[in-house]
Amino acid sequence: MDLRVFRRIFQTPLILSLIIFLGVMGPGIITANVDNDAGGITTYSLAGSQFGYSLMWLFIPMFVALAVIQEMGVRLGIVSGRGLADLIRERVGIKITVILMFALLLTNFGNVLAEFSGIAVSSGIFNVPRFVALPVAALFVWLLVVKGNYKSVEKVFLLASALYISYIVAGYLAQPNWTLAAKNIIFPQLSLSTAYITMVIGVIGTTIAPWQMFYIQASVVEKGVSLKNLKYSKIDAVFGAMAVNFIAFFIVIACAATIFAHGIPVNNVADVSKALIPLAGNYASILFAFGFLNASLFAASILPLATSYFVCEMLGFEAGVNKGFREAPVFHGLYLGLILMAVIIIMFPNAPLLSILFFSQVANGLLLPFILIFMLLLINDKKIMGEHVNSKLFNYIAGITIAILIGLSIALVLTSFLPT
Amino acid sequence: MYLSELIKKPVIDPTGKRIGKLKDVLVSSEVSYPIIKAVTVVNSDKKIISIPYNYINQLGNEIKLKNMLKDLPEYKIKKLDIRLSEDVLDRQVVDIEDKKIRRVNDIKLSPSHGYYHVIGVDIGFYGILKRLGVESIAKPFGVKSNENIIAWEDIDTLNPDYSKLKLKVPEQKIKKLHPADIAEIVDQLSLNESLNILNSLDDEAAADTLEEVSPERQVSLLEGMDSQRAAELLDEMDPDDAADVLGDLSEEKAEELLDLMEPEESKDLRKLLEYPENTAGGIMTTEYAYVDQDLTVREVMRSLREIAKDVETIYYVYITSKNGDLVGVTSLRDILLADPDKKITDFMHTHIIKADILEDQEEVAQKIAKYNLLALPVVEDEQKLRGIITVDDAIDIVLPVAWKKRVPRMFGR
Repeated sequence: MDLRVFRRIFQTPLILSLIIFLGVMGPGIITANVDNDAGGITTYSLAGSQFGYSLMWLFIPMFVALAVIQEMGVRLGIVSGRGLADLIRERVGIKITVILMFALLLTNFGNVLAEFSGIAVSSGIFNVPRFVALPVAALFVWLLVVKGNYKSVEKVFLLASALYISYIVAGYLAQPNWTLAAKNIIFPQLSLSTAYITMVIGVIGTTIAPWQMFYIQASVVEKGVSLKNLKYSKIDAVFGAMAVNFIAFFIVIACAATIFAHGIPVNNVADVSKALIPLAGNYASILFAFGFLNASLFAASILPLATSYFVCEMLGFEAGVNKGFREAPVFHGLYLGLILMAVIIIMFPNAPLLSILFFSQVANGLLLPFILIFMLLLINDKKIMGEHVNSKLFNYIAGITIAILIGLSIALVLTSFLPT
Repeated sequence: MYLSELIKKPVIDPTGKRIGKLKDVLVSSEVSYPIIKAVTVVNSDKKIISIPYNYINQLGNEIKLKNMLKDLPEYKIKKLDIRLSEDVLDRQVVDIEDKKIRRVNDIKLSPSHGYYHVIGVDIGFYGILKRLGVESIAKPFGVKSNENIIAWEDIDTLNPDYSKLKLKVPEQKIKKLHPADIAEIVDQLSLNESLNILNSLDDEAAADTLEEVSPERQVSLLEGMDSQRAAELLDEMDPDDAADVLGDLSEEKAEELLDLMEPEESKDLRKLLEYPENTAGGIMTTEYAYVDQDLTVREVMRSLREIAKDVETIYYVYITSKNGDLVGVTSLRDILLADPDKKITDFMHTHIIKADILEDQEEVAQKIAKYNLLALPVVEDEQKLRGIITVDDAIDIVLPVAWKKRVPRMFGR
């Protein structure tokens, strides 16, 4: 066989671009997908179960917001070659950095707890006791990072991202009304009821969390994406934003077609999974629960990782999945410590899981405005970004997005205190 | 002192009027422990003014300027200047392999001779607490106030990429400075300054300066400078002082310098060095005024004019026989008052107060004090004249060094 045919194929610009993209791809897709973590899936499934197709339109603005933020994150990381925490420390000095660090540490720990509680819930669906599931999960995520290097860990994360397909299948199995869904995206059915507004805030509020900006930037830096591949990384960031909303769309649709259509009251993912059995069949239910387990496990690794990244960046310790325990003891120590503490707390039979979810959501919402503002400041700094500063138009888009996100975050915090 | 103690401190003019806040501190990137060259100040209109260090009266909780703002020249920031706050503070420290070490939590500055040197960067945890202003809160929790300072010398300051601070040496070889090390560096730095000063003076002035500093400093200065130059300075110095310094140097170094000196001077010095340090021979000088006993007053005067610039004192003139025996002494006053045609032997004192070359220096000093002498001749074998000890050398023996500096030098050039 003439192998030159292959060489010619690989040299066509399109195929070449695709190959480069496959190499650069990762940080954007992974970061975006972790949006669909334990908290995210819970919120989306409740949104579908309680409001049917009427919240579908949200996915368009959510996609825009996430894409804008993710694009800025990869651009900031690739152009400066430094993580967000690095840049914040160098830009605003130590006082704000330390305050921010403690706030982030607390918030992220709340988030880590939420993910492990998600593992506990999903293993409960499969009748595995949490005393078994949690240590095994902890061991798995710890070994993954300690034994792996950036490349292998990224592959596992990309695989986890791919497993979200289970939701697409589950959504398909639920036999939704596609025309109704499409109509709702294009012609939003707005409602001014308190419950509806609270849910809108909740759905968008879980989309963007402070840790994301740190994680996406740290991972493009560790991956070492070069400036000439910036455009591929931008595609990765936007594609990730698209994928996560696509998955979320199917989660909502699965619940809307079944649970909402039959008016079954549900409070959490375990309820949703149980309710799906008679309505969409065993497979849909198992796929839904499996997706939830995958998401929680995935996020249970990414969140402590993001936390370790920014603490080390701020204090200047060596950090990275590529570094061994000996090279980066603080990084790995923090990663292990966060996982262990979370497991121990969630192991308690009476651990207040709902309060933890609530707390982590409020903390995220409180912190998000500050991080977004710092990000906007940094990305407009010519000393750091050179010619890659935001264009005027992009600044308007980013500014409006950030303003809306800040408004929604504050609203989310406020509504969290309202009695439901 | 730390950089964080200066940044944002108010800057005031000589009348006490506030000009603005200290924004940054500029140093050169080309020297190993650079001094503060200038500061930048941001005024109330957000305008940035750079002021040369020479126009700063004092650094501290308030930065006081020597002149009014309008009389200050603007400092032109050079390409190789480092802005300590902007370029260094909070930056990542990496080793030669780009491995991250820690961040710069503060920058250590040390005063020396009215200047401030950058000594190193503090990467310690305590540095963070200090900048947060919570070190006093942390103390009861057992947080030790340890500095963790990397020597400035170990940092590659010529690297124009200040996004990170790269070390010049592997991590294991970093100099972690303890307070004692810092004192040593400062001492070392002032040594460099003294050397710079010495090198800028001509031989004569430099030799005079060298005679004035403490024996330890003399040794380190001579060792620190170029050997040829050191030998030239020793040529210029009084032989007794030169002999003292040479005695303190290592044998090889002393030998090297003696070889480089002018043969005439080194011959005398070698002789002087043979005598034990605290005897008359050890402290005496070989540059003294002496004349032959056959001369007339007129001839003595002529001879004095010739030798005056090379000897330590001409007030006492010693009279020797053909074979170098000390036969008499007279004073410049007696010579001036005498008839020029008279023979010197006619009015010289023959009853001479003298010291044996091996006599203890304390006894020598006491003798000079007892007889109110300006100088005392030193003899070997009862009568062979070898040198003289002047009253200022005697004072050196009886008075501590600090006192010595207040007593004006009576003789010498």
